[in-house]
Formats: sequence, C-alpha cells, structure tokens
Amino acid sequence: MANQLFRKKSITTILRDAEQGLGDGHGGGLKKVLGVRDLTFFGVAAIIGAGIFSGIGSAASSGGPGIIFLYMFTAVACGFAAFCYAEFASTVPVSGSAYTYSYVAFGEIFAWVIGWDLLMEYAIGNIAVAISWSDYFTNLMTKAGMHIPDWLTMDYISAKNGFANGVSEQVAAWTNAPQIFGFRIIMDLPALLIVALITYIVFRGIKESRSASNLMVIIKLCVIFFVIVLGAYYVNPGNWSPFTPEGFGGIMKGVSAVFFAYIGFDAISTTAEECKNPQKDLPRGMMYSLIICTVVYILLALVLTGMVHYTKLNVGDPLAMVFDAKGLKFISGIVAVSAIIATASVLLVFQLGQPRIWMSMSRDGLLPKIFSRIHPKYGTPSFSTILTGIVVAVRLYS
Amino acid sequence: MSLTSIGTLFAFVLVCAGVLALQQQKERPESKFKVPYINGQFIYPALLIIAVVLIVIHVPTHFTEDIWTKDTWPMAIFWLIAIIMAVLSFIKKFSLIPVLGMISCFYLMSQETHKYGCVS
Repeated sequence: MANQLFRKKSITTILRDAEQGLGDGHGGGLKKVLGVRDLTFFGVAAIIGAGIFSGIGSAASSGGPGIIFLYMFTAVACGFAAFCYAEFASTVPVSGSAYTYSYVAFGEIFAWVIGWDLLMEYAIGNIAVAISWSDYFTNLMTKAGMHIPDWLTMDYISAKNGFANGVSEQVAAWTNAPQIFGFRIIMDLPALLIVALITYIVFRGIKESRSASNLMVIIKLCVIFFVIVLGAYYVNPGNWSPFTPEGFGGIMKGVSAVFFAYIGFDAISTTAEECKNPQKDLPRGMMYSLIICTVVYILLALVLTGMVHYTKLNVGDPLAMVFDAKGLKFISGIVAVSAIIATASVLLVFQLGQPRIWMSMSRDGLLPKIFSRIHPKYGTPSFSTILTGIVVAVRLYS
Repeated sequence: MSLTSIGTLFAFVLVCAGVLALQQQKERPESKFKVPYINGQFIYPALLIIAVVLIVIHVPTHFTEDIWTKDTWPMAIFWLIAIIMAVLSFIKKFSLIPVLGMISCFYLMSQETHKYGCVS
C-alpha cells in the first residue's frame, strides 16, 4: 500500500503515456505549433494582469521609489523557481506542469495533492479574474454612458446577501430584477460572456488561442510603453529623493503585492505538448517573460513615483490619478480599455492551463478517461476545456 | 487572492524540491536544460548566518520576542525550515539555486499567512 502511494513513474513511461494520449481518439492529437515567441507572449499574458497598476501603487506608497529593489529581488526569487520549472519542463515535456513533475520526483501521493492544489488554484483564480473583468467592463460602460442594470452585473448569492444587509447596489439589483415564477433573474452577464468567449477560443484550437494571446499582449505592451514614454516627460526627479524614504521595512511591506504581480509564468508549462521544441523553448519562454515583466514593472514604478510623491499613490487606479492630475484625462480611458484586454489575456492562459492538467491527471488514472479526450478536429482536450468553462460559469451564477 | 498565492507558492516549493530530489537520484535523467549547479554546502549556511546576524543587530527583538507571539507563528516556522535546510544543504551538498528558490517561497508564504512584515 505504502509503495503504491509513493509509486513514481519513470520519465520514459510518462513520455510514452503522453505519446499514446496523443495517438488515441480518432486520428488527431494535440497540435505542435508553439514557438519561443508564442510561449513568451503566453507568459506575459498570464503575468501582467490589470492589477499591476494598483499593485505598483500600493507597494510604492509604503516603500517609496525604492520599491524597484523589491521588484528586482522578487524577480530573482521567481527566477530561481523558474529555473527549476525550466529543468523539469525540459526533462519531462508533458502538459501536467507541477503535477507531472511531482509524480516523477516524489510519487503518486504528492502528485495527487499538488494536482488538486493546482486545480483549486486555477479555479479560484479564474473566477476572481472573470469577476474583476466584469467590474472593469461595467465601469468602462458606465463611463461611456451605458449603464448595465445592476441585476446583470452580480451573482445571485451576493445580491441576496447584500439585500438582506441593505447594501444599496445589491438592494437595487434585488428589487429591480425581473422575476419568472417568483425566481429573480440575477447574474453576472459580462463575466459569463467573457468566460464563454474565452472557453470557445481555447476549445477551438491552440492556434486560435495563440493568435488571441499574441494580439492581446501586443496591445497591452503598446499601451504600457506609451504610458511609460508619456509619463517620462512629466517626471520630476525631486520626487525620487530620498529614494528609500521608508527604509528596508517600508519596502518589504509590499512583498505580497509584488510577488502577486509575478504569478503566472508557470502556466505556460502546461502547453508543453503543443510546443514545436519544448525542451529548448519552454525554459527560454519562462525566462524571457519574467525579464520582460520585470523591466515593465521597474519602469512603471519609476514613472509613477517620479510623477507624484509616493505617499499619494495608494489609490485604486494610480495611473489614471497621476495623469488626471496633469490634465491628461484621456489616459484613464486608454488604461481602462487596456485593463479589459489584460484581464481577458490572463483568463485565456489560465483557462488554457487547467484542462491540460486535468488531461495529464486523467492519463494517470486519477480522473476518468473522458478528461483526456482530444477533439479529433480541433486538437484540444475537448471535454476538460468545456468543463473548465462550466465550473467557472456555475460559480459565477450561484 | 491570498489563497491563490499560497497554492502557487506550494507548487513552486515542490518543483524546487523536485529538482533537489532529481539531483540526489543516482542516474539523473537526460535533460537539455539543467539548473546550473552551485554547491550550496557552505554558501547557503553562510548566507543564513549573515541574515541572522544582520537581523540581531538591526532588530534585536526579532528572535527574542517578535516571532513568538500568537500572530507571528508562520515566521517562527520559516526560521525553523531555514535552519533545517541549512543542515540538509551541508550534509547533502544541495544545489544552491533550488534551495534559495524554496526559501524565498517559504518566506513569501509566511508573509502571506500573516501580513505584519516583521522582518523590518
């Protein structure tokens, strides 16, 4: 029994199972189309979410401009972990990510625990991302003069609880919602729509997902680049001195916010079986995406703390705040649009990752066989992908 | 949000530990990319001692009072793990990069569990 639990799989067995997994079904397997540029972009898509501006703002407000040292330190710490992911990705290029790696290194019981840990993490993460996408979208629509009714922008349970507690928005949603047979129709429609759209893209094929991700990352990086260049004109170097006003302790207060900004590079290892040359490209993709994001974060932190005094940065949308203060109101609109795109790209990569971990667990017999079924035409784990969408959608409704 | 971070950190820790486990295997599998091996036998314990000395000088109450309160137990566990890792590194000549990766993740985990930033 104990041997059973700590049973390890040799790397040759795992690779052979993956090969067979590719072969069964009706002809088609996963499609090997990703190159190092696509992987880097997937990495950037997953890492840079819409929260980066507020994250930088809150970290900088407690640590001052010296917060850039924390970004460097955290990048190095994540770089150590990325090195380890890279070694495994190149040794066992299979889509299970940390799940498969634990199977090889520690045996089945650890793999099982980490497999479920990853699934919870992805599920909770995706739901949170979908909800924040909906918030950004609703706010943008309101700014543009199109208010979406409250009962279409929140889930049933929070409307009900909010009504009971007398929260004004929820009360409005609860009382205005149309009723069918006494049941109030309340749902987070924007969130449901984005989840449906992303799930469709991921289901339709890895090429489609790649194109969507590349496009969104290019837009996202262009907006950030534009903001940095424009902001650089308004930097007052006086704001940078003293550079570390709050000392080491003040800087370290931002450590959670800063670490959160780097989460996501590991998600690209779930596409191992769709890479043209995973053993070479996955390590590079992870490193490049970490480096790109570090540079972006450091430049943004320098611009933000250079434009206004760091003590003023602890607001929900520091970027809009600093540019509004300079009379450039249109920037907040651009930032709001890019936030929608950035959040959608994060959702895309995580909705892509989860079914592939399920697929790997199913091949090892830890989940039913249907989880590793590959769509004969589109070459994606069809059942798992749709289930991933449904899991998020159900949680959004109830 | 914090739950997701802890799950991620847990995965990072296991992957770093996995690399250490692979290195202990007699026949290390073929791989096109390997974490560069730096012997952590002396470097890691030395780094730990430097960190402890710096903290004792700058925040004298850290080891005597700060980590022993009800809210700061994660920090106490962090130090325990850091010391165990130093002993293991010394005995087994662990590779430095995965060890530092693990320790950073454990530190971040302890920060996620309680948000007091007591290393100040």
